[in-house]
Amino acid sequence: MSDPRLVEPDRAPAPTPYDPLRLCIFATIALLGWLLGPAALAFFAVLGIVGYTRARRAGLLRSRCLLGDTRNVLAYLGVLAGLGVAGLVWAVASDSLWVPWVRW
Amino acid sequence: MSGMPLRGDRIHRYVNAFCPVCHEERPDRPLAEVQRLSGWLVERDDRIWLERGCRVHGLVRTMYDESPEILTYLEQWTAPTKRHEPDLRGNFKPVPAAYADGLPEMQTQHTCILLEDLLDHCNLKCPTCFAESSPARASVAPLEQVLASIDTRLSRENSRIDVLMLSGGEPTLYPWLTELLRAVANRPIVRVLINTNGLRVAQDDDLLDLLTEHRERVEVYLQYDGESAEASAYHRGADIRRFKDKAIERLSSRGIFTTLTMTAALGVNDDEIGKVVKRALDTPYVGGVTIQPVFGSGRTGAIDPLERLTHTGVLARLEEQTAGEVTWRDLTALPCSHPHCCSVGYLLRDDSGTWQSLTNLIGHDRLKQWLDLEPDLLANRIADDTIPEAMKQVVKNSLLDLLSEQSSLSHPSMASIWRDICTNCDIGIGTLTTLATGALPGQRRRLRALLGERILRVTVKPFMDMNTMIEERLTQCCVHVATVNSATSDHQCAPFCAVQAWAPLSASRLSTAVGLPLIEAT
Repeated sequence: MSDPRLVEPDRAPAPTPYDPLRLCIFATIALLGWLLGPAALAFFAVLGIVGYTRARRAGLLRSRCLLGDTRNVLAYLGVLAGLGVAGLVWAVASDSLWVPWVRW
Repeated sequence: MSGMPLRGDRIHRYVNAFCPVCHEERPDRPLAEVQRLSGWLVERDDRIWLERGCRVHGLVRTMYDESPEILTYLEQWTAPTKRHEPDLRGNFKPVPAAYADGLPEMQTQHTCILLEDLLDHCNLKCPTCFAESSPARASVAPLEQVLASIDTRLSRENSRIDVLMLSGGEPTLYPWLTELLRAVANRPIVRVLINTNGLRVAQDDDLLDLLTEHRERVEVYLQYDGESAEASAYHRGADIRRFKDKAIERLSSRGIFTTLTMTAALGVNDDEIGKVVKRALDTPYVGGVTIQPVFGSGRTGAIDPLERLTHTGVLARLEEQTAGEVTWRDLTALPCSHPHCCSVGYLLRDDSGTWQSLTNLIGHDRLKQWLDLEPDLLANRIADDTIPEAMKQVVKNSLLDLLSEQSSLSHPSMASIWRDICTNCDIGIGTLTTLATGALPGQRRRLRALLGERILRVTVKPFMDMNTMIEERLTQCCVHVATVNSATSDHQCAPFCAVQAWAPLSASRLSTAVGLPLIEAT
C-alpha cells in the first residue's frame, strides 16, 4: 500500500477549446423565424412575457436587458407579441407563403 | 481565455521542513546528510497541512494543526526574545547539523529550561516513551558530569538558570539525587522541576521527605494521563492509576507544588483533558496542568500523520470538556517561544469560589497593550488610560515573567508578580488582602497556601516529530537538552525536539553519552 503522505501536486485541468454554443442558438432561432415567421415571433414574445412577469413578481425590477426596467421589457415584448399576431392575421387574410405552415 | 484556476487552498506561511519518509528509511542518517526542504503551511478543508518538496519522495503532505482559526489567534502573541551565547562561536552550520556542536549562532532564544537526562534507567517501559527509557537501559550519568553540564550552561547564561528540569529515565531513581539537589541549591538556579512517573513518590517516604526539604525550589512534574484504565495502559503499559492517586495525595499533603503532565492521544484519552484539568482545579498544590499531544519520536510509532491530536485540537476541546470553565480564549501563546510551541493560561479562584482566567480578568486587548505587543494601539489609548506609567511598566514586566517558559507557581517572585497583576483586576477583597500582606513577616506560609489553592496554570505543549518539524520552531526553541559533543566531550545543549528526533543527537544526551552501567555507577 502506498504511503498516504506522498501526494501528487494539484495540476490545473487541461484547457478546453471555446464552445461557441450561442452561435448555434442564434442560427436555430433564425431558422425558426424563417420557417414559422410571425408565429415564431408571437410564440417567443409570449414566452418572454410569461418569464419576465414571473421574474418581476419575484422582485426583479431591473434586467440586464438594454431596456433596464422590467416594465419596459414587458412593454417591448408586448409590442412584439402584437406584431406577431398581426403578422399572422395578415398572412391568413392574404393567403401568403406562411399560411400552409400555419394551417398545417 | 480563462487562464489558470485557483489553487483551492490558502498559504498560511512558508517554512523549511524535513522529509519524514526519508527519516523513517534511515533514522540514524548523519546530520550533515539531512536535507532541509522548502515547504509551506497551508490551510485546506479547515485544517493546517505541512507540505514540503523532497527530491526523492516528491510532495509530502502531513497534518500540522487542527484549527486554522486558533493557530492564527496564537500567532498574535509574540514578544522580543533574549540573547544567547552559542556553545561554539562561529557555528553557522545549517539545522540540524549545527546542533552537533550545541546551540549555534543562529539560535534566537536563550535557555529558558535546561533539561538534564540523569539516567536512561526507568522502572516503567512506557509504550509511548520518547526517550526510549526502560528497566533494561541502565546508563547513569555520574554526578560530576551532571554538575559540569549545569556549570557550563551557567557560564553561558550570565550565571543564572531559570529552570533546571531533571529527567531521564526516571530521575527519582538517580543514585545521587540527594547530593544533586543540595549541589543545585548552592548554585544560582531559580527553579528545579523533576519529571517523574510517581511510582517512587507514591511509596518512598525518604524521597517524599527529600522533596519536602526542597519544596521552596523544587516542583514535581507528574505524568498523569487521565482517569481511565485504558489511557494508563496505552501510555504506561499497565493500569497504574492507584500509584498516581497516591502520589498526588502525598505531594499535596506535603505542600509540594505539582504539575499534572498529560500525554494525550486521539481516540485514547483526548476526551479526558477536561477531567485532568478538573482534578488540578480541585487539588491543593496542583498548581499546573500540562497537556502534551503525543508525538512520534522515540518508542511511539503508530500516530496517523494525517489525523492526530494537535496543539489547537487540545485547545478546541477544552470548552466542551470543562463545561465552559476553561476555553481556548483563556490561553495565549507563550510570548517567549515560537507561538506554535506552547500556549499558557492562568486561572484564579475568586472569593466567591469561581475560577476566572487572567485573560478574562484583564482582557485580550489590554493584555496585549501591557505586553507592548501593539505599540500603536498603546499610543492611541495612552491618554485615557488611568494606569500610571510606573505601574504599567511593573505589570508588563510581571506579565512577561508570568507568560514565559520559566514560570511556575512556586517561583520566588510569583507572589509579587501576582500582587502586581491582581492590584489591577477585580478578584476579590480577600484575595487581594492576602496577596498584599504576603510580604509581611509570618505571611509567607499563608501566601503559599493561597497560591496552591487558588491559582492554576494550564499549558499545552506540542512537541514536534518529523511529520510536524519546521526549522523556525527549532531556531526559537528555549527548552534545551544537555548534550555532550561527540568529538570534544564538551558539555553543550540542543533544542528538545531536535534531540528526540535525530538519532545522532539522541546519542549525545548526557545520560547516554557519559552514562555508566547502573551497578558500576553506584
